[in-house]
This record gives sequence, C-alpha cells and structure tokens, in this order.
Amino acid sequence: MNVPAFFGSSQHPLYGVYHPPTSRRLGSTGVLICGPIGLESLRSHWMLRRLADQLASKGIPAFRFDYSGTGDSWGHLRDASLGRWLLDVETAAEELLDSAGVRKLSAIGLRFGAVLAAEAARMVVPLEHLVLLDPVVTGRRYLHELRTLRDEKLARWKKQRGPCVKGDEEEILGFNFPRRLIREIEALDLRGELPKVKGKVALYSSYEDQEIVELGAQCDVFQLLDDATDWDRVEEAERALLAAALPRAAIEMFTGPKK
Amino acid sequence: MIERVVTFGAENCLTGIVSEPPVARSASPAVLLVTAGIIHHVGPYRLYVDLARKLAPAGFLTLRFDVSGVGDSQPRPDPLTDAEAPLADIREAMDFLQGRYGTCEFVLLGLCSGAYQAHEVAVRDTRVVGTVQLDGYGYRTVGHYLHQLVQKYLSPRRWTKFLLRKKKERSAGNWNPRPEDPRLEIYAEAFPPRPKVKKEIHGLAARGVRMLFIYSGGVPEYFNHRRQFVAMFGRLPAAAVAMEYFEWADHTYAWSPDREMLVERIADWLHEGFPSVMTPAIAAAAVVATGPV
Repeated sequence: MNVPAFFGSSQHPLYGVYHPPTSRRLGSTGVLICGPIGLESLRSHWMLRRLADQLASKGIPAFRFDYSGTGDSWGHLRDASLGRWLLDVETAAEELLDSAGVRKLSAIGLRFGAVLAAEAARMVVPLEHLVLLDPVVTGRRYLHELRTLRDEKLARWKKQRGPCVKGDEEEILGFNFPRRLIREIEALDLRGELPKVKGKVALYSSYEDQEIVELGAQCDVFQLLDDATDWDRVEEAERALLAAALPRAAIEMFTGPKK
Repeated sequence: MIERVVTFGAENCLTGIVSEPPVARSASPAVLLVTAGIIHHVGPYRLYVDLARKLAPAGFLTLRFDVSGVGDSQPRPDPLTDAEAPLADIREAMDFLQGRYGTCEFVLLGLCSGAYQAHEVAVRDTRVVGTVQLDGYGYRTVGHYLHQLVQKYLSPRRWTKFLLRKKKERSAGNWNPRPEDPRLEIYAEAFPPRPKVKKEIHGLAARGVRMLFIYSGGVPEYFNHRRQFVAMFGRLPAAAVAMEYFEWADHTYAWSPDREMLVERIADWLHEGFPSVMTPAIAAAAVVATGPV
C-alpha cells in the first residue's frame, strides 16, 4: 500500500507519496519522481501516480512529491523560488533513502521536473540514472509557450478579464508566479552542462525541435516517441495526461526492455 | 492550523488531508471537499487547498480527499458500481471524521461530479446539514433556450467568429459543418430527471439542510442565466437556499481573482449559515482578556 505523508521540516512540510515495492525488490536503487509545475502538474498527476505504481510493481521503490507552494505542500507559489525547490528535491531524496532503505537513487523528471532533477543532481543529489521526459530545455521558451497558451485561452473566453501582470506577480494559466521566480526560470538552459551521473542520462521526448535535438545529443540515450502529450494545445491544457510511451520508456530504463 | 495526512475507509483505501482548526468551533459542521472528475484532492488550480486553508483557521474542520481509484486513493475492495462507489467513499469520510473527531454534522462541497455526489449523499444521509454545489445539476428550460438564441444570434463577436470560421473552412475545401458538441448529450443523459432532483432539494430544505448553489459561466450548455434556477427547481426558502451565478467565471475557476472571490463567498456562506458558538474554554479566555462583564 502506498504511503502518503508530510515530510521534511515541521515548519515547511512537504507532501509526498512513497510507493514501496510490491514484488521482489529489483536492485538497491530508489526512483525519485520530479513532476511538472503549474497546470501541467494537475494534468500529469494521474500519469505520475501510475508510473510510480508500475515501478513499485517491478520491485523498484518510488517517491513522488509536491514542491513548496504547490499541491498539498506548505506555502504559496508567491513565496517559491528555484533555490527552495532544489532544497525540496534534496529533502525528497533523503526521504526516499530513509523510507526505502536503499543506498542509491535515480530520478525521473517530467517537463519542469526534469530541470529540477537535473539541477539537483548537479548540485546536491548524486544519481545512478537520470531520465528526462519531455523536458523543458530552456526556461525562456517554456515561458513563451505557457504565455501563448494563456493568451489563447483568454482569447477563447468570451468574458473580459483583468490584466495578467499585477504588481510582483504574473498569472500564467491560473497560477500566480512571482516575478523573481519567472526571472530564475528564464535564465535556465538545460543544454549548459548536464549533471554527471554514475549510470546514464536518458531523454525521451514526444516532440522534436532544435532544442530537444541539441539536448538529446548530450545524453547517453535519446529517443523520440509517439505519445499523446499535446503540451501546446489549449484544448488539452486541462485534460489529464494519458501518455503511455513516455512512462514505459522510463520504466524500461530501470528494468530493461519488455521481452 | 495543523494538517494531517489520513487514510481511511474500506481497507484504508482512501487518502485525504485533514485541516484542523487551531480552536474548535463548538457545534460547527465539518466540511468535506469532494473531488471533481479525476482531478485529485488539491482541486482545480489548487482550489481545495485554498478553501481548506481558509476554512480551518476560521474554525471549520476540513477534509479534502480522493474518492476511490482517483488521485492518491486506491480502488475500493468491494464490488460497487462507478455510481455507488463515490457515494460510499463520502459516507466513509464522514464516518472517519465522526470517529476521529466526534463531528456528527457535515457540509459537503463539490464541483461538477463532486456536486452531484454531494447532493446524492445529502439526500441519503441525515448527517449532512449543508451542501455547496459548484456547477451541480442543471436543466435546460425555455428561458435557457431563449437566452441561448439571443447569445448565439445577437452577439456581434459570435457572428464575426462564425464568418471567419466559415471562410477558413471554405479556403480549406471543408464544407462539413462543425459537429454538435457531444458533451451536450452526455449532460442530457447523465442528470437524473428534473422532477426527482427538484423534489429532493425541497425535501432537503424541509429537513433544514442549508444549500449554496453556485453556477459559473462555464456550463452554458445547461445553465446560462440567474433566473433559470427558480425555473428549474421552483421557489425555495431563502433561509435554506442561496444561489449565485458567477457568469464571468469559467467551470474550473481558472483565473485567480475568480477563485479568490469563490473562496470568500463560500467562507461567508458558512459563517452565516453555521455561526460560531463559543466553547467554555474560549469564553473563559475572553473573560481573562477583556475582564468580567
């Protein structure tokens, strides 16, 4: 049975769910799942829960969690920062090590979660493998895509809305991002230097563009997959992500290809 | 305020988070936030987290949780149907709070399918003393069709969009008309018959259940003007039933000013409908603070 719990400091509790292995344990590695932020996090909740369940069914303990100011974790998004979220990844990694009794960690990052997993691996969390699923490659491009979706959604709504930028915050697809955090996101570029891991860095992408190809060239594994993600379609923005190829590829990274 | 992760229900298959008030409001009902569709317990755009963290400091014990098989909850171990399972889940949530905290009265809040479930459980379980239904049951009336016609045929913006779309279709060689939104038939078939729901709402009002119905502008296929509520369900006692039409808001309150307004309205309604009763401890503390009268 999965174990949902608050963890971390009592002042800044984070919410996470530990998925213990439900079959004979495979190796001594746990997998940390770093999810997206904003509306993409709501879309992908079901998919990441299923991914964690499937890892557990293969004997691999997994852990997924909410960053500060998101989901059920403490705080407001307006107080969030990249530094805070990297600390959260580190805290979640420690929680997984404790909960699962493993000595090694790998990470799967989806969308902005891929950035956080990679940054955390570079700075504080040594990893066996790092799996990037539809990663945000550059923060500038990511914000541009989100703003385009937001503006398209606004254009389709028949009622007049107020401004999206208010004081120190900008509303992007229903979430008020502080300007400070937006500047931090804008400065990100995953192509700079990927973290050194003990095993492999794998990139699986459902879409192909120049940024993805450039990043893929730096990875040990790079594969384009046909999957239902539609990150850039406003009609899909509030729909649950039902991707299958991406999570399957991530799982096979740890278990080997299905025979 | 303290938040606790809890598991409960049959074989502890259900997961939720209780927000405990710092000071208990004697005789206040607990508030259950029922998930909408397959959105998990944080709610659309974290609405349920905002609600819980607004209501709990104000003295309302609040539980946001996932119905079975959704979010972080497991599927139920018993063979209930898709329609029966969420109703059983909600009742088990009430059982859990009653057992753990001694609460025996509940307000159920739900959006969309969560609203329908809140209504259905309220009808069946007398522990429910209030419901907040966001885009709950709705039925097309004559007035609805008239408003639809006016909005469709007298809106310059819609004519502009229609003509531009037709021009695009002709340019692409596509002469097929846009298919009818399939959701319309789903709404028409999924709701119980209007006379049944009307009778149930009147029955709940007679039982003393307080109800807040809030419709957004995001469900025009079955609700599109304020007066439609009375046309659907008849006149109801103002002391029991409140209705709001937030025409400018979309179905999931995607824009933060709309969510803030919604949270404030719900909190105000709860305070009005279930006013605080001082416990002896609070009264004693107040005497110490202000001196005896």
